[in-house]
Amino acid sequence: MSDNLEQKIIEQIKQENLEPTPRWHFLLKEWLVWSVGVLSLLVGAAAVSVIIYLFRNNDLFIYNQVGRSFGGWLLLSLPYFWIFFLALFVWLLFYNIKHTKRGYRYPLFLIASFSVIASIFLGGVFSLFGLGERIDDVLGRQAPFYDTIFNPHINIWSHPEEGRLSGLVITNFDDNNFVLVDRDGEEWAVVYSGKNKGGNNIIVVGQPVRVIGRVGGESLFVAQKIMTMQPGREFFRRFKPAGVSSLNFGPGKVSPACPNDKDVFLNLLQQYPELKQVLEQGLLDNQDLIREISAHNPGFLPMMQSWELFPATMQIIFSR
Amino acid sequence: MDNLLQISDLEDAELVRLSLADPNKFSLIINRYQDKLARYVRRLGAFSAEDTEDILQDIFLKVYLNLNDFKTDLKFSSWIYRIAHNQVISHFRKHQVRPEAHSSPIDSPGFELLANDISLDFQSDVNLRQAAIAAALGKIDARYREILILKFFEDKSYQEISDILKKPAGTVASLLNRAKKSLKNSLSVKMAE
Repeated sequence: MSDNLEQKIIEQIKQENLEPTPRWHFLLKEWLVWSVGVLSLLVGAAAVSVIIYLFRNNDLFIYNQVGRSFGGWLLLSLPYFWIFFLALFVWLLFYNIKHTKRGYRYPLFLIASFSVIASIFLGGVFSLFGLGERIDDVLGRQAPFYDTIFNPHINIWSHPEEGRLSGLVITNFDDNNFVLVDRDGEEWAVVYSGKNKGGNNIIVVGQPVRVIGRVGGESLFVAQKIMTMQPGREFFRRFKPAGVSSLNFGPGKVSPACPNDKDVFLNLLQQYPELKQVLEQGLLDNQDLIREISAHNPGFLPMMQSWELFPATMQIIFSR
Repeated sequence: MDNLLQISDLEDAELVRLSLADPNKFSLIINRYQDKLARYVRRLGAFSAEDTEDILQDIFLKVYLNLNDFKTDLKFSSWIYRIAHNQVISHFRKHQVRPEAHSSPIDSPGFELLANDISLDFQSDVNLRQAAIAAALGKIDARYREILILKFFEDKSYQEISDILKKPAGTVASLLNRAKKSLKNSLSVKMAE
């Protein structure tokens, strides 16, 4: 080796005006690695909080009521998108920790375990603050392909022919019988005579529900079990009829479009005689449905009689 | 004389600081590491004197350009060896060759250290034994060879090897173990021939 290597290098530095790369360049690089790592942790944790929210409301143990095995039901209802999303960001976190200045000093399994545990732990904390629920609500309102990608439950609960129906309650005749609009915009009259409801105040106009049962006729669903629909509830509000969309629904609230209060309803009929005619014609056109509702709900006919609604029409329907 | 003594007393981190302030002072770092790195480069692959010099030149230029990336929580020697190691690998890739032989003075104490460590049980002339080890080193996997070179020829600790190769200390230990077994197997085959 030549003795003047030192001289050659110094000359090259001077001739080519070489300068050490500024410190900020290395600091920025390191800062970027850490920032992407922290961001990956936060996004991964957010995915965990959505998974927790979806699982908490999954009703895993109704598998026999929907005619499935536990494993089959579990596989059907796993939130694959969110699991993939979580895996992606856990990997990004792992990758970024590994590429920090001293990341190589830690064994891979330690970094991998830390990435998984930190994401799950922080996701649990996020979940306590309702982040998963909020993310699901926002996506439900706005995200395209929500019902196929973000929340597979919407698909699962949109098979009336297999006994699973979901949608937004748009009219409730009473505590058990109501009309819902499904994700395809189709209206279903749901009749129910049992007591198998998952909680009080489930059938509320403007709220989505899940129903297990069977198709009883055209646009008629005979319910065996009615449950609330938490994940995806905002998605169904996309299908609110125009007059319903701007109203604040809930127990005790009355919708002028779908009145469930006797006085308000009777006043409306007095105020708009043409509405009365339309409703009366509607009853006559759906005689089979009215009889089916009445058969499953013994309180229906007495209610119509006590409200003194369309006595002549009811006489025609029930005289057959 | 006093000045020379003072310079040799300076720590590496201080030389880095001086080089950042004045490029001429970078020659102090070159002086301190030129021979060590030349030996290390030749041990990683049997390069000609010309190739070794070219590689060294690239190494020192890279060191100079990245001086601001050096942090004192790492030994400077580990940092500069890491750059040297990466530069040699990149040289192999650039020329699409595999490191096959290793060039080390036959009387290097590394051979004796290695022979003792793997408890070689064949008796022979010291020179023959060292030649056999050198030949076996050239035959084993490059990953094994580089870790044996760092441990026995460059006299680096586990932590230093970990910092040079950017691998966890535990991985270094198991890699070293496998490297010694591989070398011993290679030597046994050679002895059987």
